[in-house]
Amino acid sequence: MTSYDDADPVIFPAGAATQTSAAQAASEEWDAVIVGGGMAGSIVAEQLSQSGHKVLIVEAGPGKDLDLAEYESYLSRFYGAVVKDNQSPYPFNPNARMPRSTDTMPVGPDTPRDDFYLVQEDKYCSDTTFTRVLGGTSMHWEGKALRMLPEDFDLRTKYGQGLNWPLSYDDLEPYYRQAEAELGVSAEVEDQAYLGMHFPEGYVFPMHRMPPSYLDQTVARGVDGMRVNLADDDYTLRVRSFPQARNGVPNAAYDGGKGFVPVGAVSTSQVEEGERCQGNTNCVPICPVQAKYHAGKTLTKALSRGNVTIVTQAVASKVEIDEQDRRVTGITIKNYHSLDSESYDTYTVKGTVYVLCAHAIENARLMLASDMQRMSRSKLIGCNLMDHAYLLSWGLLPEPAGTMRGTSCTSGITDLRGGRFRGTQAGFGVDIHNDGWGWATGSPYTDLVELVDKQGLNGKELRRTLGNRISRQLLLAFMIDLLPERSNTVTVDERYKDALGNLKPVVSLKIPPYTMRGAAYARKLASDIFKRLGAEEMTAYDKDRYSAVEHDGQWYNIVGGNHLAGTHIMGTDPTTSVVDHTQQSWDHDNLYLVGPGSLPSIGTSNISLTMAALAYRSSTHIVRYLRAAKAPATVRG
Amino acid sequence: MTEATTTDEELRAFVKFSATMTGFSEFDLWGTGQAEAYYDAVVNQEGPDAIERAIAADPSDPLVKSIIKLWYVGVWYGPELTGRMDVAAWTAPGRSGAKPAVPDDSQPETDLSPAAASGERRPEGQYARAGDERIPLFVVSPDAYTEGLLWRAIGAHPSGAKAPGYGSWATPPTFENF
Repeated sequence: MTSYDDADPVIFPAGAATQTSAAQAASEEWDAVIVGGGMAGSIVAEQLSQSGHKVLIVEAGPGKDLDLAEYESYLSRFYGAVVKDNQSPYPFNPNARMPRSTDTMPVGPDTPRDDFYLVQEDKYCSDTTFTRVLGGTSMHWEGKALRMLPEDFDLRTKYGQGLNWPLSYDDLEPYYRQAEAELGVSAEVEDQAYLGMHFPEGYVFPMHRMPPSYLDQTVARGVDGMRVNLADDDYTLRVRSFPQARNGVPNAAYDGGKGFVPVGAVSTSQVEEGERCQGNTNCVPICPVQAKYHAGKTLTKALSRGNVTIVTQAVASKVEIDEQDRRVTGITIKNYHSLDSESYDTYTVKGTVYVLCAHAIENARLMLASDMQRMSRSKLIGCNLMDHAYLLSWGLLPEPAGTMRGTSCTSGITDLRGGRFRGTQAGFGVDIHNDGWGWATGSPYTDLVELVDKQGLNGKELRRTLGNRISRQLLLAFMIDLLPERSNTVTVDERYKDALGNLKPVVSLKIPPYTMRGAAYARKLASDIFKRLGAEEMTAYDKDRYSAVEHDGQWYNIVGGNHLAGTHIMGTDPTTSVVDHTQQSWDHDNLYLVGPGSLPSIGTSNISLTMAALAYRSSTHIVRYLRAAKAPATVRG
Repeated sequence: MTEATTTDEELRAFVKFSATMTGFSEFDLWGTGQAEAYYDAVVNQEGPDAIERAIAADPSDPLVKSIIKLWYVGVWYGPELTGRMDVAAWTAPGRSGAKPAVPDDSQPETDLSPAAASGERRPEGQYARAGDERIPLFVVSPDAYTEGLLWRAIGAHPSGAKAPGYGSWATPPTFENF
């Protein structure tokens, strides 16, 4: 057993991902069986291991240790990949496929696309992705770590929209702090105390905020102090720094003056890698130096304790349920032999408690494939699928602003995340993208091809024109709230199966008018901001693209933000929700569904920090559950 | 004159020509460490006389454009892909939300299977030789990506490599004099 201390390098135990065979895992009795080695699963495993419990993690991804060699192979694969999308660093795995944004196709009700992993049956289709390797989607997430607003937790009561949470901001606040410590969040309290967000007296974030980019400063000169009126209320806008789960300068005042020691790269010296963000401008799809948090850092801690075991290349295929008492009796896994072969063996792993941490789409897919909707009192498994709707606006600034430098995004405009206007239209956050028009147009490569191939430039003129043009790019990404709608779903269909014979997820997601009203307002606001900055409007929407949505006679291109949530929402009533406030299933006593699927609404913050906070909170309940389950029977007096 | 010397002379001629076409100096181009690999890529894809043809051609020739783009981003876009903005977007690093889908009817005649797209690489030197089947789209090597001239031209660094350091993004951009 390796001890772990914050000051030590984080060493992934050698061979941990391969030393336990599925057969061995199936021959033992575990306290907890966790499905998914991503952010939520790693946090739960780490917390249960601290309490001395014996934990098995079932991971669908390839059986490689998440050590430096594996991480470097991701980076090299990214450099050499022809299509550099946000799954490009990760190996193609026919047995546990990942959706890719390049899979997105126009689809119609009569012509579903099932040649990819996500089956889509709607006209609007999602280009959302999640990653099925050890560490999960945290390997490619951008690292924004915003808290939800207090008003996000009771949207129904306050504005008559969406659903209330069974928890308040104050209930979750201590767990937000725990998550901010684990993820290593860089931010300042004075920047983040807005729209009712509050922090205990004396709290500081683990690290100081990331310095705003020169592009942020350029935008701030035009935006700060801008006044807008929305639903009879006045708002003053300003450019504000985003909290980020990446290593910056530790705040000496953290933890009552004890300070904070950042967690560096896994399995190497922090002097070499993993210390401060170096400005690789590549948070998505992979941070080259592991300055950005990924779940491997937490997983390494968990595995180092000695009571956590992982079995890889194991795709959870079925949750086994006792028809009488409705308790989970095991998880059936398909253990494939290699990435090159579809041959596999089937085993059932057993524990006292089961925790599904496979993200919103996979958790729902697994439960539906296990015929659990039949036993669900709410019938809401897979319903209420949410994903932030992103509207992009792009313009050309009058002067070079240093675009393509920094982290992917350092600042934005957050004043319209909350307010009374949410009674009629969606709130949004605005990201200022340091990586230019890439998301919208494929810049800077499309600029190169246009200048060389279409304008016929070469030599010094080409070189000069590229520099002048790309350094002036400004992209504003509006992240717009999408409320839970029962008809937005993940389902399964016997017609669609993957290589191992597992049912594939079928996704249906439509953008409701409430969100589109927010989008229409966002479009107008972007134009006003560009005018104030003297930027040339370059935004163009195409009604023939897969992401086209019509609203009020205008076409927009709306894309998913990869913030999947809502497929097993939490609530106070077993007939209207799938889990309770501890993320325990209403219908199956020894089952917890931990992940963004439990979120009854997503507001305007990226889901990961809230998911992590909920994972910490649920861990305390799972520990209690296990203590009670394992306690010797006593005679009640 | 031996064959080796001929090749060496032609390599130097290739770099000299490329310097004019890219707006970077021969010194800069040799400094990328990619000259031989790019020379090989052009000859393997377009035939033994490809360099000679490119040098003699008008700059608007698709082959010349392929060579310019090769130096700028390390990607071989075959001449038949000239002007293909969708292909350009697939190959660009970064947030992929708006990368165009890969519709069946516009797929370049390359292996854009999920495996190829995710960077599963052929063993070193396995790109088609002259006379073999051509490959219209590939990244020459992981190093070719990080050595692209584009990043220098825009006062930045390759996305995901050669990071400029903590906080460097807060200062105004600077461009090289040339």
